[in-house]
Amino acid sequence: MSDPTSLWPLATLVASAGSAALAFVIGSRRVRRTALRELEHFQDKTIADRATYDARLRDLLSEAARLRALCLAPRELAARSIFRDRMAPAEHEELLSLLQGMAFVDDAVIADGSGLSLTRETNDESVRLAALTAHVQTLIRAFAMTGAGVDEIHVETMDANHVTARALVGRAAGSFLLVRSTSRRVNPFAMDAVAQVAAGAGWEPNGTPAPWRDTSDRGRDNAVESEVSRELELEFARAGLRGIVLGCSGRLVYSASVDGPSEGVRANVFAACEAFQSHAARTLRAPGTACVDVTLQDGGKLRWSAVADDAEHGLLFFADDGATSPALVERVRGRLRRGIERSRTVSSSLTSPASRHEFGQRVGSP
Amino acid sequence: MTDSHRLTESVGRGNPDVLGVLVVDGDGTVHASETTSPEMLRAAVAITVPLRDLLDRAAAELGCGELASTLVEGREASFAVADVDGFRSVVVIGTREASLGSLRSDSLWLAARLREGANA
Repeated sequence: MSDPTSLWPLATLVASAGSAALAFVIGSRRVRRTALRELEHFQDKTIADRATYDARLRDLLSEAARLRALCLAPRELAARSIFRDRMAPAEHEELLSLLQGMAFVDDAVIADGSGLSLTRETNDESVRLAALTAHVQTLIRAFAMTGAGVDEIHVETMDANHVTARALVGRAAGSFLLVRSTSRRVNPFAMDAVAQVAAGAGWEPNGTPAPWRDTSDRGRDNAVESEVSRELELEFARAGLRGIVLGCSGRLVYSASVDGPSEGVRANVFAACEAFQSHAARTLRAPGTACVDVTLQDGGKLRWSAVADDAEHGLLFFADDGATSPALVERVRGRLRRGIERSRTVSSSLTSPASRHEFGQRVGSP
Repeated sequence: MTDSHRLTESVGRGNPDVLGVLVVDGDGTVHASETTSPEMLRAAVAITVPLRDLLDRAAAELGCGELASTLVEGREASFAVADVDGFRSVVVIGTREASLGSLRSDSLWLAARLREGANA
């Protein structure tokens, strides 16, 4: 038999090992419980976060769908013509696409009479181009007052920009096509094509002759003795023109016609052209207007041109289609400009109040 | 004379269709003006500041993006408002005879020039 006291260390060791094992088991269970609790909490939080993010995603998707619908809505509406006799905005754009890509065409818009564009404005120039429509309409009305229908208006600015305007008819009635080109005027055939497409099959050119053709007023002023007027007398006889008007600062200086428009018509048209060229230069932000060409529906042509760069003197020609060449008109204008420059005394006397009265009496005298 | 004054004058002067031109910011400070009467200037400033605020909010709500210009057409006169830099606005007031397109064109032109001047 062994001594019982010799077992004490073994018993103590076993007891301590057992208690340590028990403590470990108890501790590990506690840790596990804590870890499980934390895991459950994390799971709950994840589920809650996911629900939040799902809701947010649904909101964003719905917002994206709303915005997409907003973006698409105008396009869908644009393609729809509300009224049978009016063009839809998309049709206006299609009309302009006929001109896009053509040489020299820088910009084109279709605008209404208030000067607001019905088509997409690509740049600041488009805004100004559209704004010119209001003045184009005013000029057309001024011609209508004299009984003449306007087919096309062309403006050349001092900085070599060209704008061609035409009133559209048919389903596009009330709107105007304006095309800006650099260096030269846009091809009239292109303008004709667009106008015909806009008008549709029912379009017929207005062949009603203007009453101007029937007038045979001979309002030539033989008493004008200035060098400028002598030049005009000479050139007028040669150029085959129906009428000619020279104005200075809005006042008529010389006016004559052969089988052309009456004195009153000449004065009204000259005033309308003067106002238009001033508005055109301001609206297009150009240094000035070099010339304004108006093509009438009866084939007649008018050209207002600035005699010099300051546009103080304006010259208006009335001509039949093909009766006179642009080169001839330019030659007359050149001679006149040189005449004015040569005789500065005449030019100054034209602007003096005394001569104003004198010329005012002469214009329109029988 | 500052650029903005010179530009404002170039729009207003010699144009019989324009009654007034002004550049005003969101605080109501007038940066440049060219009007036929001081009363018009005061009224235009008083109207423009809240109007611009309203238009900005309306444009944002409708998803129009930043405001570029707007037109108010009245029976006796009309006016155009154009944005310069999100804070300043150009206002061009026209007569009854003035075309809306011209007013808008003038206001946008002036706003673009002012922007160019600020960026230079």
